[in-house]
Formats: sequence, C-alpha cells, structure tokens
Amino acid sequence: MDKYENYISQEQQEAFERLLLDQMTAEEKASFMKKLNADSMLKKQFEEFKELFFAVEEAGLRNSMESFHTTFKAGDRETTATKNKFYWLQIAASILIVLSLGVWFFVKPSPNEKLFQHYFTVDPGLPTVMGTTNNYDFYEAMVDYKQGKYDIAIRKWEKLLLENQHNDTVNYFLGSAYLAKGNANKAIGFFKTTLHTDTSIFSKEAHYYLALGALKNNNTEQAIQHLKMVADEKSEELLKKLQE
Amino acid sequence: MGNALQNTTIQLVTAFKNNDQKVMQAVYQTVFPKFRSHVFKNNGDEDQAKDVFQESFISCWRNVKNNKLKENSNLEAYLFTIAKNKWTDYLRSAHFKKTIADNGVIVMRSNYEDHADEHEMEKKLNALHTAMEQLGGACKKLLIQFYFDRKSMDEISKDLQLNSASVRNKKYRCMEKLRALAMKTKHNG
Repeated sequence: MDKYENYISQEQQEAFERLLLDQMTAEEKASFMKKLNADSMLKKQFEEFKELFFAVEEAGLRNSMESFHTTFKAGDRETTATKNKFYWLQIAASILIVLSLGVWFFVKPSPNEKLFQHYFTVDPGLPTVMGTTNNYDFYEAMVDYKQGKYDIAIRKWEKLLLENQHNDTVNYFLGSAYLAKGNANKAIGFFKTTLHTDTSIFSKEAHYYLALGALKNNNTEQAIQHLKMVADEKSEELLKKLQE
Repeated sequence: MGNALQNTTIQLVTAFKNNDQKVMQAVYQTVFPKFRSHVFKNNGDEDQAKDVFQESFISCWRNVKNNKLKENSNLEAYLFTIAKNKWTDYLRSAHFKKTIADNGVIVMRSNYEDHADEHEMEKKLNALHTAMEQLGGACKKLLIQFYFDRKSMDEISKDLQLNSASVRNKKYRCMEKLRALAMKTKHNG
C-alpha cells in the first residue's frame, strides 16, 4: 500500500460518498463542487474514488442481474425440455417413415389391388322404410350395414342364414359386408351361394363383386370370367384393363 | 413490468441512478426476451445472449449514471440498441479471429475511431473488476450494501451487530483495500 499515493482520509471518503449517494443538500453540494473545481488534487482524488465506487456498484448489479435472470432460467429449462421432446418426436417420426417405407415396399399394392380399389364401391344396400315389411330382423341389419357397422350386420344376417341358408338376398349382402371389410375369401363364398339361385336379382352384382374379390386375391383369370357375365359399361372397362 | 413500460424516461433514469432494483429488473425482463430472439435469429445461443446482454445492461446503466443518455430518448430502446451493437461486435470479432487464423491477414476495424480510448477504459474497468473479485467476501458484502443496495447505516449496523463507528471504520478500510488491489492489478497488468 505504501508504494502508492496515500489513500484519502475517512472524512474525505465520507464526503465523496455523500455526494455520490446524493445525500448532500443543495447548498452543501454547491460549496463542495466549488472546492472540487478549485483544487485539482481533490478533483483527482474524487475521480479515483468515483471509479472505485462504481466498481462496487457494478459488482452489486452483476449479482442482482443473476436474480433478474432466474425467471428466464426457468423458461430455458422448459425450452430445452420442449426441444428434447421435439428431438425425440423427430427421431420417432424418422423411424416411422423408414418403417412405413419398408412395409409399403413389401406390401405395396399390386396392379390388381389398385384396380380393386379403383372399382370397388360398397353396395348401397336396400331401402329401409319402416312398416313396408315384416322381415324386421333383415332390415335392422341393413340399417347397421348402411351405417358401416359391418360386423353387427354380419352377425345379424348370419343368424338369419341359419333359418334359410340359400336366401340369395341375405347371402348377397353378407358377401357385400365381408368385402367391405376387406375379407375377400369369405365374400366370394357368399356371392357364389347367391348365384345358386338362378333367377336372383343380384346375379349381375354378385358376378361383379366376385370379379373384384378375385382381383383382390390377385386372380386375374377368375376376375375376367366373372366380368364377362356382367356386361355393363363399368365391367367392360375393367375387363379391358385386365386384358391389356 | 407494465408500470415500468409506462414510466417516463426521467423516472427510469432516476431509478437507474439510484440502483432501484425493482425498476431495473422490470427493464431487464422486458428487453432481454427481445434481444434473445435477435440473437437466436443471428447464429447465437442462450448463453451468448445472456452474457452479451448483461454486459450491455452494465454499459447502459453506466452511461445513464454518467448522463450520456440523451433527453427524450427511450431507455429500453437505448439498452436494446447497445445490446444489438455488442452482438454485431461479438459476431465480427469471432469472424475477425477466424480471418487471422485462415490467411494470417489482420483486417483493420475501421468503424472504431476512438478505439484507443475504449481500450484504455476497458483496461481500467478490468483492473477494478479483478480487484473486486480479490476483495474478501465480508468487505465485498459491506460495500455493496452501502453503495449498490443503498442501505442505511442503521440497517447495516444491525445486520452486522456492530456499532456505527466500527461499521464506518470497516467501510473505510475496505475501500482502502479495494484501491490498493486495483492499483496493483493496473500496474502489474
């Protein structure tokens, strides 16, 4: 400490402090400033003290800023957590894409499958007007069928089938329901039974759906045979495509 | 925070001069998110945003105390501008280092006319900063309570369980020590 100029007196320091802490009265301040401007040594000492004073304040502000920043620290953690969450989601999404591509590669639709999808529409079913029939159970199932509740419709119609195994209408709609569900083999069985009734009003449709069922099973030959039995515009168009 | 936004510049300036921590906190928390977005958009991360912003806050606060803020200027906008400029400077300096490393050519920075003054000032502040770091915990706490927190002698005496004469003497000795440390650093560095 002796190497440098002596430090100011305690009284001097306290006077400087009072000025910097704005604790002087206007009069006091004016007289102090006058003295300061007249005395270059005092002025130098004051400037030096001011720097030290500011350094202390700055250290205080640095401490305080850490607490000002704590709210952002909490926010940061959230951000990081969100980032991590998205990071994992991204990985999960990538894996999913790779898997989907793999699955698609192995089960990608065959040309016949594509034709099936293009030409298949679910049979709209029969109108269900209350009171026009006493075959209540059949039409109740028809309501389910029309609502896309194929499993319920199938259960109800299969019950009816126990009483009358060769009913073309029940067989036809059971076939339709199974095909709508994507079960071509079961559907084919029921459509074939429909055709056992020679004069069935559903024979044309049954052949068309049999052709589609065959397509779904990738059996082009059988699909062609059935289409030849239908002979309407849509069937001929599909037939052409199959024969190409 | 809303009140701080409505405060006039004069009120904010007075609050900064008196180290009003509530007001400073409000300003800090209003401006930092804006600056952070700016840093994120300009190749920076959270830690860099915090460091540069705190340095900027110190600069802003110091300039306000030295009456460098022009009348009628918005303190928050002023703080944001300082921070933005410091960020640009930070990016340039990183690029500057890279340029030297890549081709050994030193690119002159022409947009800093008073660079020498700035450097001298920085050196002085660093010496003081180092001195504060070297000052013992008890001295540091006492001085901060007086000069930054602006606590009264009564409060501090009570806190330290000492009479006011002892506290005054302690404060004097601590400042003397701080000055000695700062001079040592300045002369050696």
